[in-house]
Amino acid sequence: MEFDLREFTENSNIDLVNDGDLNIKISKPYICDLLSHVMSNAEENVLWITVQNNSNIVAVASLLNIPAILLVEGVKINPDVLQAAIQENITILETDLSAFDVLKNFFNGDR
Amino acid sequence: MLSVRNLIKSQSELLVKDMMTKNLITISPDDTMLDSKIIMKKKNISGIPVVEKDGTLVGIVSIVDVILALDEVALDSKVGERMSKKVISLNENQEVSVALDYFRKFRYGRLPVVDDENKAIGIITPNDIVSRLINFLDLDKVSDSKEASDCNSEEEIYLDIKGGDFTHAGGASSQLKKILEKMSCSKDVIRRAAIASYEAEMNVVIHSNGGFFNALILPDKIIIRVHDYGPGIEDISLALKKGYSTATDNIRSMGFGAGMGLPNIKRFSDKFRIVSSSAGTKLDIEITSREGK
Repeated sequence: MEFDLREFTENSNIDLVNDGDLNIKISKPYICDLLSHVMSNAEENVLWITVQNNSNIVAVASLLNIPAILLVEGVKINPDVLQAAIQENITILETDLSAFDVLKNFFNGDR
Repeated sequence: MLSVRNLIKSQSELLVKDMMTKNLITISPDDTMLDSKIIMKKKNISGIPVVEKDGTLVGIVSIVDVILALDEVALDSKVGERMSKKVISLNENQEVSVALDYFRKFRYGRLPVVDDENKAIGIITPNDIVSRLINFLDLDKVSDSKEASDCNSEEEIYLDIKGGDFTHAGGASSQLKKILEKMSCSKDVIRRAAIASYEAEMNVVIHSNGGFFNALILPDKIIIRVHDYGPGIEDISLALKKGYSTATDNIRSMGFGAGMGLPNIKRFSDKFRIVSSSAGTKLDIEITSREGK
């Protein structure tokens, strides 16, 4: 399941909004929108997939050592959230696809 | 009001070398972590500057390093391999006000003092400054504080939390996490402290009129106190149930209100106490190392 974050961002359906550190191995994707569930269940070095779009996602990612957040279903990151992500050096990605489709494509090799 | 800071600033001739302790306990990089442990216990100190044979300061070994070595059953390893090499020191000829600024900025309980050739010649603690300053002011009657209470790796943070302030939310827990990382606490302890403190902090932001966040980091545990000024939790047993939440729709739309806040704190802490009345909710959390248990 492990993959390179940089390789993932090269997927044509994905927009790289903030670089962060792309030289990171992602252990697996983790999908959830409820912050306390993420707090309790996400491991470090996951790619967090969500539609949440407020600066608390950056706080949560930073506390859990989550290096990258992917906003799905056309959600565009708020400027203040992006600012926080730049400060905390967290990679921000966006896609119009759903969480399921983006991962299905990636793992099927449809880039 | 007489401020110590202003007093020190007004005495620009007060130098670090006048206030430091010259009786310096050191260790060699070739000594073992077991030696460090024995010295710390015997001298009742929690950090030892590491010096070469010629006195050059090359690092510092702390009680946290000893604990980590204990955990890894590596007490026979060399101090030079496990010490912190990025050691922040003061020059003997620097003004004492610089030392105060360093203590505030780097949050260390003690700083080694070196001469112009980077040879360790003393150690200075905030208490050294205060007690010598009191001598200086000719205010005696101050009980002799032992070197032991000067040299410790304790850290404390205290921050106010504003109710409803989602923009700065998470700031206190994030500051705690950064300090714990700097002190090289174990990953497990850092993670659990981060989760428990974030949930506690967010409860204050979401549900209260504001409060404070206080974390005391001790060598063997972290004590986190998060207290707010009301309105209090109506039914604590319900609040402790997974999935129960009183958060409004607006708050839920931000991803909160999963009803997992208190259950998460309980799960990731080692001791957990909650008291609530209309005057406020007091949450006391303890995190201890679970390694080797």
